[in-house]
Amino acid sequence: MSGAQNAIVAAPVGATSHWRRLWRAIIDRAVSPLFAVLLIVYWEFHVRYFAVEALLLPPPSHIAIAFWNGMASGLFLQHFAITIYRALSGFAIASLFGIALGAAISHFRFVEKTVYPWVVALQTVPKIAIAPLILVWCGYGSLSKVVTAALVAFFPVLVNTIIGLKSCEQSKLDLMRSLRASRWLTFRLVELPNALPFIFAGLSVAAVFSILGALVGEFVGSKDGIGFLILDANYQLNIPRVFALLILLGLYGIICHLALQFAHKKLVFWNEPKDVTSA
Amino acid sequence: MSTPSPQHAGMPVIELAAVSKTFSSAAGEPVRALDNASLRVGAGEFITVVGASGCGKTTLLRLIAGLERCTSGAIKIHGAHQMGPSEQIGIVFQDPTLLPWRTVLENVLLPVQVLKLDRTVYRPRAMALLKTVGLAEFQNKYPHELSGGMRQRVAIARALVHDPAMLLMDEPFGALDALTRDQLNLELIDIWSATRKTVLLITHSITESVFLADRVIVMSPRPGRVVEEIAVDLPRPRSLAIINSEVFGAHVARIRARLSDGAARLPMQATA
Repeated sequence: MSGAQNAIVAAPVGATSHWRRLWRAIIDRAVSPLFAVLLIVYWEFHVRYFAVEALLLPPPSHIAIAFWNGMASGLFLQHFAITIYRALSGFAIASLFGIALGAAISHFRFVEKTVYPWVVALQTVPKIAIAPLILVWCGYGSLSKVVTAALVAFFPVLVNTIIGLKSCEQSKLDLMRSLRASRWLTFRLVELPNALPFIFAGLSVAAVFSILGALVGEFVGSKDGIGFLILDANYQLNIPRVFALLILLGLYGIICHLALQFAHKKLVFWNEPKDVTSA
Repeated sequence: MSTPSPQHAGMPVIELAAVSKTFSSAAGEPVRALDNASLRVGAGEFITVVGASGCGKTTLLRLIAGLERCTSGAIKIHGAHQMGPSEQIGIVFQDPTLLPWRTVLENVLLPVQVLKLDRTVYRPRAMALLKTVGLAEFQNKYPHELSGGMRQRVAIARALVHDPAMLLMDEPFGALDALTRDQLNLELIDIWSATRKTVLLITHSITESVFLADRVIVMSPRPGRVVEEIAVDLPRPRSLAIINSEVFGAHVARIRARLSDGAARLPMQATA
């Protein structure tokens, strides 16, 4: 807004500027959804007007219908539940082992010396490349997907736990040492709560990675789950359904992120959550 | 009336005899942080240690606290050889070092929890200490809701909660603005006169060192060495007005001269 305009509006009374502020708040909030709506409208128009092959890019209306059909028939939710079960199981296992091993590595020199170099080396291997092997080892059922999800989600938790536990200020440790606190007490009262913001950042990434791992596991070989549905729809060239499933996954990702952000705010109330956008 | 100057007689609370500390630098070379320091602190004395940064004053404090071991010499606390940290010592660090996930009261009670003391006995004591530092109504707040000065007050209450015989303070007010700092200096003197703890406070402010102390230990850097001990015979209780008195000015001038002696020597050492 230009200064001249401001001066004119500000001249009468506060009421006008109040309305202006309200208007601006509405615009600030509306601008992002509005952009999406415009994009979708243009997409629909473009596909229809230029007669784009529906196999390449279906119009949003077809996607919406596919979404509705999939949800109404219960087909999506049935497979979605399976994939979520696999992802969350993997996530839980990854969190448990990641935090435990992270604590062990940061606390016991022996563990750090023996295990940590291998952890770093393994981290450079793209875990997804192991998915076919895991299928061979763990079979066609849910186990191979859970293991893939856990493996992919494990490293962000582990690395963040180690960083968090090692980031404790020396003065806090000195304080505990000056009171002759045991290592366990120092860990429980100072180091672990101190690491919580980092651990939460790791968990946020792991939540996204675990669904990724479950999907890859399903892509490699499965008879159910969202990954199976996507491949199946792809083979049938049912592209609107593929898009509809992607939307479902997107919604799940958003819910996951919000849930973790909520937990972060409640548990780590002294530290504002940093938005984790990696992955 | 001036309160009687604390007795140097009897067994010193803190005794350092020819204490040296050598660290090895990142490059592996030995760095002498403290060289041949000797010091006796009597019960109830208020000692300040003043010097430029890098003069080993923090090392001195950490040695007395038992957080570091000396390379040579002897440290005795209450006549016994120092064998590591002791609950007889309360420490206030440079930054408040509060735990952000604990309320003010829970922060003050941390030593009680760690030392496994009886909470029902020490809770009223913690409350009384918070009242002394003017934070009684903030007991349920969290550290991030407090100002810097308030946080350091909580740290002082925490250092005193388990009733240690001595208080070690490492530039406790260094990060605060001048007005808050003056205020906290006055409060510290009040706490000291009420509790009669032995206090050893480290500072780089000459004014602060004279204002608070019965005795000022002047240190010079590279290697860290005690160059002078100055008895401050200003009457107590002291008010801020005393800073403008002639006697006070004379003390400050003397310390400043001693400190700049040390600084002046540096270039000569460098060329030697």
